[in-house]
Amino acid sequence: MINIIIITHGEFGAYLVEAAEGIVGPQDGGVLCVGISARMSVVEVRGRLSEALERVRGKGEMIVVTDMPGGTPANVAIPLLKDRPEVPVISGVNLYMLVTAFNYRKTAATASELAEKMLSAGQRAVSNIRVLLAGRA
Amino acid sequence: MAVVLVRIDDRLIHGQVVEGWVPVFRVQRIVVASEPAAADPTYRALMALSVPEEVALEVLPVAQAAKALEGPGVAADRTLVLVAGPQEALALLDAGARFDSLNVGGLHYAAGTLQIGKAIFLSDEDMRALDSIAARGVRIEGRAVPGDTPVDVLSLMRTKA
Repeated sequence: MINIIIITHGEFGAYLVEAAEGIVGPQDGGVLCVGISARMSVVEVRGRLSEALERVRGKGEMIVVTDMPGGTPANVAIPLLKDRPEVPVISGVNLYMLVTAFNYRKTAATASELAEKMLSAGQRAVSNIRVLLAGRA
Repeated sequence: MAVVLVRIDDRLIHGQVVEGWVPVFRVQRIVVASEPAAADPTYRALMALSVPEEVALEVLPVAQAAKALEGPGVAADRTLVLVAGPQEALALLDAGARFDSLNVGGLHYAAGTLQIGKAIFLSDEDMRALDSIAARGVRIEGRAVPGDTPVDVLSLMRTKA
């Protein structure tokens, strides 16, 4: 089972987890959310993320998921994981990406295999539905 | 035929179906039995977009759907059948479809309904239809996604009504 750590601006990540669990069912463990607020110092953010990383240490592979490249969550995650090049850090989390992660985290052989699936699903979810529908309706 | 699941869901094809049931049941074909959906090209196109490419989709009026599930020449693909409500499930049986279990997945709130699960609200008409379905030997379970613990819809319906 691959652990998923989601770090986002505000409680965005926690709400996404709730929505994704509503679609594919509750996850028993191994999914952790860190929400950062404007009132937190970078030191505090780093502390929260380290704590989450610590909680899954020795419990299998993990993927770190953030909301946008260049945001504080990503900027804090990358230096913290500088000695862990095997841990994928994926930005642009969306519901479809997370649903895909939940669907395959039990069966994916490696974190990088799961990361590939999450990336392709997450990218597919970003589309102009009217363009996709054109010619079909 | 190889019907692996018959499901009542007033949202028909949506996330729980595509991401929850399709992979777990290794579904190869989805038959939606619904007169309004079959008559609405936009809705049909939206459903076609939501279904993975390798899964076949047919959106048919109930009587035609029953035919598409039975008889010679019907593919042995692992099939998921979706109807919007208990009346349609009963109509499917009346039209000749055969199944021995039924999943009640989502019947959302409307005024005057009885809640028997997180997203299962039944009207008197729904309950009558479910009773008739059960009387034909169909087992009825309530469950939104495969990982949920199934609830016994009929007994809850009787204790709560």
